[in-house]
Amino acid sequence: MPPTPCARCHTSRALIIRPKNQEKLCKACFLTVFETEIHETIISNALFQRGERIAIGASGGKDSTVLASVLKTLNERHDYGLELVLLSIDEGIKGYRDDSLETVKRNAVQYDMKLEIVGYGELYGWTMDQVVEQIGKKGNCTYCGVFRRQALDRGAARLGITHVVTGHNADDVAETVLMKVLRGDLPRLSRTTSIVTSSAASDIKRSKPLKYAYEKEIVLYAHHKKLDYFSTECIYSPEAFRGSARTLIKNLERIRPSSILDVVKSGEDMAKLVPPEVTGTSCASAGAVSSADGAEEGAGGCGSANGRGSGGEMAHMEKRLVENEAAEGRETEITLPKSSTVSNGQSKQPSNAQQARPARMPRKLPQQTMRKCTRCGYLSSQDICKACTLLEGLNKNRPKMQVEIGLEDEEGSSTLRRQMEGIALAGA
Amino acid sequence: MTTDSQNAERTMGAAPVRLCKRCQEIEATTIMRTEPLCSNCFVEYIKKKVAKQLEAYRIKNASKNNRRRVLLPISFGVSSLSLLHVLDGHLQSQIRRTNRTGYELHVLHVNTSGVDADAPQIGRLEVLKEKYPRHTYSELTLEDVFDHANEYLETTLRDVNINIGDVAPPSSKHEKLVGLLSALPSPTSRADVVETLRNNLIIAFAKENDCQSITWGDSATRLAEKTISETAKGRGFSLPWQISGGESPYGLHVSHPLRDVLKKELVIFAENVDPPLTPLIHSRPAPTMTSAPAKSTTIDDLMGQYFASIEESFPSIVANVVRTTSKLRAPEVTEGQSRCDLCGLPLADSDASLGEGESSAQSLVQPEGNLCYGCARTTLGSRFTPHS
Repeated sequence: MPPTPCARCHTSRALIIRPKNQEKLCKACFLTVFETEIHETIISNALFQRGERIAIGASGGKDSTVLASVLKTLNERHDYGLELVLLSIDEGIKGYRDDSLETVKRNAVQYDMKLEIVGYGELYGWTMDQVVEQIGKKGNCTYCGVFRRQALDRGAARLGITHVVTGHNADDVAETVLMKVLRGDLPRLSRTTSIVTSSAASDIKRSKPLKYAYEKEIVLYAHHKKLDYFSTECIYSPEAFRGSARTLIKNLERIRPSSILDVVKSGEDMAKLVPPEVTGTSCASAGAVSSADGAEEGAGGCGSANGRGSGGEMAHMEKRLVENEAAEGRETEITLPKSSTVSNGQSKQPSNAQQARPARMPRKLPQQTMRKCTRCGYLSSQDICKACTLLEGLNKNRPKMQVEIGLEDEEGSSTLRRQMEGIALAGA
Repeated sequence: MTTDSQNAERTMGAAPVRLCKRCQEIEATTIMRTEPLCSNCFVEYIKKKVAKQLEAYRIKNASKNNRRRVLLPISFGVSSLSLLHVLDGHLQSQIRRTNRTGYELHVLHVNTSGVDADAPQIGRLEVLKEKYPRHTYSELTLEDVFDHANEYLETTLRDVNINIGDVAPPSSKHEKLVGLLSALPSPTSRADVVETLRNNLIIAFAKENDCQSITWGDSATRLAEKTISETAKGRGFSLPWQISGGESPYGLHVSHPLRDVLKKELVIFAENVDPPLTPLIHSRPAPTMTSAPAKSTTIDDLMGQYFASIEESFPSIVANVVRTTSKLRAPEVTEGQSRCDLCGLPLADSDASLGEGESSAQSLVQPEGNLCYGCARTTLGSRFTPHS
């Protein structure tokens, strides 16, 4: 049988079947088409401005390495006029992050980019290894996610940069959409699906140029470009919901490869259908506003691919829901005139009747107004930001906390109090 | 998934010998969420739960001169049969109490045995007619969609490369349907189009028969399945219409009275009513659970398996998915808004193109018809080949 020719150039031999649409391509055409699609995403969403300085959230993993490589290529090819910098977070996970950071250091040389590393240890006084030692392997992803979010912002601020790009790919976005549906967490769906997220009160915006790129194609690109990346997954396993959603996405992709993009599309559409009283913000439309603290979006480089969670998180939620239900049974029902919930009631008989049905008092609707954390000055919807709340819990159980001095008002890229903790720890 | 369910607390399972928590008389045979119940109290509990959703069907809400007709589509699965049983009892109690009813029930079965070897055979409605004689019964075949559905159906299909008119004459409805399905690119697309056509047919039938509303037998588990399944098929935009109920863009009222009841609870319900509904239920061969889905697996199959395992260990999570999805608000539908030529749902502006990130060059076929994203996706890559 003669070799199949590439479906695009029709001259070279096809070596790659594109995971996204089964197109048979030669290596050169695959690399070109992959880059071109990301270029189109960047242009059609007007992600960058000429002269902008961009921090690439770099973990040394395939996604961020491909992102750095492609952005460098496109920046030169299409003359974006960007200054690209690598920004890495050192979570402090031995046997994982220390090795991957070595990769990032090599990437910095290979791509001729400046590199900034921000460590959980220096920022919070806790490395992830220490967190896990304290709280166990269950639920530690929450800590990591909350810490990472803030660490990226602080790292960017340190560099004087206001735009961070992350390596979230289409699989990550689709997975998070399913996870949010499973968790019943629709209010902030738009943060997952929008390609650009920025917060009203923060100057640092995030974007995901790989939002429409398949994980499998990212791996192929890295392989054929012979990129230097670190392929070990985080040694701490992902949470059950994410693991569950990940397995679903993998199976969906097998059944119908377009499913990944279809889930992303559904997520974008559903984000527009979340009623404003549920999001707590007035402009849910473009998904431009989202609160700055929060645990999710942690997919960037965390979690093992096999999707086996402990089930602890799901069991925990199940328990909470059962308790809520039981509590509801004991409640006296308070009826209000039906607020505008679901039906856009053209009053026909049945809907009239439905409106007569007593509407349950809505559960607390989080009204989010952004302010500064009273402890560290980071943007927060509460008096104390999520990171500081988590730290408080951690610190309570740490014996040498007498070092605490009243320096709450200190502001800056990292609080003095946290630095003190870091020093105290290093000295220990 | 298996590890999750093994490790997790089981809320249902081997119950220790104890009395029913409600009547305190009979030994409990099942644990309902957290309460041990005897079979009587269990059945009553489910009926009550369903009755809560039947506000719209109460007598006081019925208009005097205009008899309200409600269409109940039956698949012979445990859920729709349970709903028929509950509604029949509901009507009987209305008659007992007031000598009149708040609605009339019209039972419809759309037979798909022409294209699905595992589907119930034609004529099974007879058994139901005998058991619940009060109601009107009709049976249609999926092929009838060519008589009842919108007149554009064949034109629409031609636009997506399915020219069923090309079937060698005389092209019967059955040949058209088989031709259409064989032209679709995957088992998922075939299952999706069968669902869409069945839905079209049911809606057309409801309108032709003066039914103002359709009551679906979907359980909470099924609605949760549908939520994720439709999301995966790119139909996220349609979820408020599919899951929430109320006024539908088709001009009919839609309800899901079983929306608070899990599938596994309905299985117990069907076994415990007297006489049991079990012999009436058409059971399909159980899909085999494998770690990797087979080529013939559809997205709906996958979600069915997934939620069957979720509802075992985490029933409240299933209920929560339905509850939160129901909070999504349907977009305003204006009078002249254009509709999808296949599923009939209103089109949003963005539906014209398939997923961003897919430039036209990457799409194998660009559908030309006026289709929503989900229908464009499902028919993408269709190729009609008249069989020799």
